[in-house]
Amino acid sequence: METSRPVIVKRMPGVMNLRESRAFLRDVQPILQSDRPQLVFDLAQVVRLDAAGVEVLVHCMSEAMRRDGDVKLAAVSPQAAVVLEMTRTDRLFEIYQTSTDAARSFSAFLPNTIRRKELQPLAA
Amino acid sequence: MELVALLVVESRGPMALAQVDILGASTLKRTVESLGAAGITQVAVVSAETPGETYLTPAKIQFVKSSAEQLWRDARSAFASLTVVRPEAVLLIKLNCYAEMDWKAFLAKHRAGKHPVTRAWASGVHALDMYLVDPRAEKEVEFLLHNQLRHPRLIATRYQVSGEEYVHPLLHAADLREIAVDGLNLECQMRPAGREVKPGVWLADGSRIDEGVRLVAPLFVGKRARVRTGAVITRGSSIEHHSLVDCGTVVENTSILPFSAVGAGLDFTHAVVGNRQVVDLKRNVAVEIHDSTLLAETAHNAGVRVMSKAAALVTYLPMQFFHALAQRNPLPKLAEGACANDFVSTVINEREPRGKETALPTRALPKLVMERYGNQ
Repeated sequence: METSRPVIVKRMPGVMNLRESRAFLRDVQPILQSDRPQLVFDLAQVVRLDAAGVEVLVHCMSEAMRRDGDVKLAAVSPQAAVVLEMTRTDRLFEIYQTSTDAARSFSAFLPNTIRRKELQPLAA
Repeated sequence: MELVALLVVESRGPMALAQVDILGASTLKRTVESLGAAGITQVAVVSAETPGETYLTPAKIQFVKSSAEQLWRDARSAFASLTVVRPEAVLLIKLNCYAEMDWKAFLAKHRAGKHPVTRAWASGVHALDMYLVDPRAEKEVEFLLHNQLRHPRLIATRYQVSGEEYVHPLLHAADLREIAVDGLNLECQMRPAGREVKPGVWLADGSRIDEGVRLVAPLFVGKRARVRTGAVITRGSSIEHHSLVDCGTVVENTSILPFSAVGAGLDFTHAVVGNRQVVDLKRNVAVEIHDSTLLAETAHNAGVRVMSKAAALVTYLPMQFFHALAQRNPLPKLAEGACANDFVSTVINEREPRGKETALPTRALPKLVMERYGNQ
């Protein structure tokens, strides 16, 4: 299914603590308030993600879904992936290898680009 | 004839792994006690960190507090002080592995050998930084200590570790986990420092397991550690002493290091957690956590711990009051120390019967997330 609505890719800052999260939320708030927002958050630069940052992600997703939109994550750095997994929020998002894949996924199903758990555990 | 030993503990990164507890006791402590049990009369330990453990051994122990720069210089001084008693041989060990050795067989090999130095070798061609030296061979000893026990100056007698002995390197956080799993699975002689309350479930004295905690063997909970209600500890996990696992957190195949407090509703799998760091063994990445709601350190001092618990008790009711006030706001506010899981659990708790959701009120909208992706 094709869609003509724009997909906005937003790069998240390296540090997502309380202060940065608030600033980030202020930036994306207008986009979230549009009709059916389609957002991709690029987490490639994120090296520090606090609970406040995770909460912003969940908040953005719920806001987007409220308006029949969606938020997807792309290029999640290992540090961010650890925190997302630890807080059990990784399963709430579609996570893609690249921002391009995430943006394209709004118009077509791309099963091979969805990021899966990278490695098997060392000790089972 | 007397036998003496010199143990050198190198620090890699923020901590010396040999002094980190594995199943209730550090590698250093276990090594010193095994040396004492094998008849070694004097042990000198050179380390940059002060050991905070009590050693149950007949051997006389001498601790030399050093620094990373001075470590090997201090090791040379410690060696000189050990040889005052004119021992038959000196055991030189760099503690970069956990070894359950047959020290008597090692000594017998050294006595039978022609060379003044005997080196231990693990299975295959893996040489250990573990030597028995004749203290009269001054040049050999000087060379060994100068190159940090990497290799001997001349040919050394080779002592091959037998299949009954156990050697595991201790260089990375993953090694801590692997040794703990081997200990819990009884693949070595290491036993958790506690009592086995159920098959495979080891609890140390003073550990506190709240009601509603799911414990799946094998696991170990250390001295004065606390696991709060709703937590799940499973698959070879070890919670070391004075640690805290908060409500609803899942700990799977993970080591929680001493004095660590992990937050509520989290999920730790295949990781080593401690010192405000999470080492994810799947991704092989260490992540610093600066958020105390996720990971914090408990005070090492007992008095400070008591005071902080008293303060938490006093502030409990006011905190509940403010928490209730905060939940009345239509949008979640980013408060200091806020946790995403609080928000998610609030959403779950506020679930209404399906029949009432037709109007899609503003407050019910986050529920869509849970409906679509499941109540995770």
